[in-house]
Amino acid sequence: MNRGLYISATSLSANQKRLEVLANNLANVNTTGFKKDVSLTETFPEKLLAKLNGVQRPRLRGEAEITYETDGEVHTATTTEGYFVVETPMGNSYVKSIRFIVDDEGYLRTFYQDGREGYRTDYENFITDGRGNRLQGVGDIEGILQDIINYPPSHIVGTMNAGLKFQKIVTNFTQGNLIETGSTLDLALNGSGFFKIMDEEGNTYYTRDGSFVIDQDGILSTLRGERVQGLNGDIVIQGEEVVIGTNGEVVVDGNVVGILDVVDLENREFLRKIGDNLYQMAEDVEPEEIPFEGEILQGYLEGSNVNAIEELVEMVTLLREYEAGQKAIRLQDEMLEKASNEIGRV
Amino acid sequence: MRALWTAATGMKSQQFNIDTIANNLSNVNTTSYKTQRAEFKDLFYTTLSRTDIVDQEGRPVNLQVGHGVRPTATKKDFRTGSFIETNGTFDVAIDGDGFFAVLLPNDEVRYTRDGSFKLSVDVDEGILVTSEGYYVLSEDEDLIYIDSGLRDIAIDDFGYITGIDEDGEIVELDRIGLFQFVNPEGLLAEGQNLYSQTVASGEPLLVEVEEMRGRIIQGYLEASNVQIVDEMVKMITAQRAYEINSKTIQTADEMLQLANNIKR
Repeated sequence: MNRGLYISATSLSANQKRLEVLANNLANVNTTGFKKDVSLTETFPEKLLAKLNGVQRPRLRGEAEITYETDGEVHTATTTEGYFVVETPMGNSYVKSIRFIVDDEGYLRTFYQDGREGYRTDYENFITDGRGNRLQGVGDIEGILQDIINYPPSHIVGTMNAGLKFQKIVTNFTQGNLIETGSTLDLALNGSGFFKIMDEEGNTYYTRDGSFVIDQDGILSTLRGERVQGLNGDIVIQGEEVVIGTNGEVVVDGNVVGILDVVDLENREFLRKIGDNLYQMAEDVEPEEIPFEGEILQGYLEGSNVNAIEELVEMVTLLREYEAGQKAIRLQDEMLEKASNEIGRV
Repeated sequence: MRALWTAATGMKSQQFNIDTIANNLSNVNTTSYKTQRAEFKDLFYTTLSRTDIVDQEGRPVNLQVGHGVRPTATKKDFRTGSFIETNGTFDVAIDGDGFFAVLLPNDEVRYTRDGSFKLSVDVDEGILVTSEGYYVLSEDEDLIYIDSGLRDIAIDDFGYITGIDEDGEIVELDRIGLFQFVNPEGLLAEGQNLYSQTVASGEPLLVEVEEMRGRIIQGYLEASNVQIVDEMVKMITAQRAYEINSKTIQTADEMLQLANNIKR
């Protein structure tokens, strides 16, 4: 059937998932320490389109002009003729322009950033030489690029992709507002980092919700009863006056009883939300803990970092995109109707 | 359409938030009332199924979408309220931490910071009671008797009650019991300004005279610690959050309608 129908449908289903993510953000607009999720979509790989019955004649090389720019580590290149071939998990993609960096092993790869300095390439796409070999290169990148342009045979008329796909959900870890509560055991983190929490089975969780209580054994714990970890394990608070310093030092009646184990994570993009404001490392991923560089504030809680205005604007745009996708489907349906009912009329 | 239900949890939570705020505001003039705050946590997450099995196999990519929010707790804020002068002999306020203990008719003990006590006179003996008639407990957890012949009853900083008898002699009576909890946030609010101990709050600990950080003030009552401005701000945010979640429902509904209209 008409390929366009399926392409339009991908946009509808991706937008529906985007709304689900948005709905969750908006539902958590008042949740302590909540970090909003952002959905990322990407197109399917660009595939070559061939003319039916076209004469297959190979093209000559060397007629392309490459515009090449480099800005520190990032390289950008656009070609007028031919295509760059990028290896993606879903097959090769034929594109006119590429943006990449050279990774630690020398491979030319697409990249992403996670709000910190530096670029990341794990699970990203490779630039290839068009014959299935991943490209490695240092030095004269422009020269290398000149050699790898893929000139398709003359019956290739262009490229097309199969539409939109919902690629992944990324958690936005920017700071939320600090709300004063005055409660002794309400803690907020100012800066990137997490409280470490341990449940009864010894599983470690991370959280930014610092609304703690003291359980019946006098141990600092979350509202659900998981224990807040100090540098030397559980923190026992027995006394009247509890002061928690900006460095996490817990002072009870003048004696230091423990230091809160607040850490930042180098690979926080692998944290998974499990509900109850807790995060857990994804399966088979080891947490890379780095020192926390912010401060701990007593008597404050961190609000949600969901910005209702941004989310609403996004909701309106996605609704209109959805509508446009629906219109496109209807249009193609009408065309098919004409084709079947009017052209065929005798 | 999961978004419909997700947004519904958001609306329900904000309703709970408004309920809490309404209770705070209606208790703005309640003696020793402690303001409450609703706490929320996100609900569980599910991983969206991949459209293509081969696609990005083994890649720990995040594809989880949440199911909304739920209220988990209301936390009381035990900051001391302001003090209001009443000049009542048996009106006492606690400046600092701690609770008075009262004995209910069913012999259970409750704790309160509301010190508007009265004298329940029985023949020639008075017993210190709360407005509801519950007995106030002394430091030995006994009833506090005050002979009717005494005048100029004074309650000092530590809670010792003294009076002057007919001969002009100072008579020392009991000390009002003052109790503390490791985790006052864990106390259960029972209504009537009373709290009961729970597993989370820990056992009540008598505050000895030597350990007293705060003091007891006669002739004053502790006002509610509700900050009207804060509550109003919270009410606005809660109402808007409610509204926004209803917009999500509208959007989801509109999308469903559009999907329905694909087929003419």
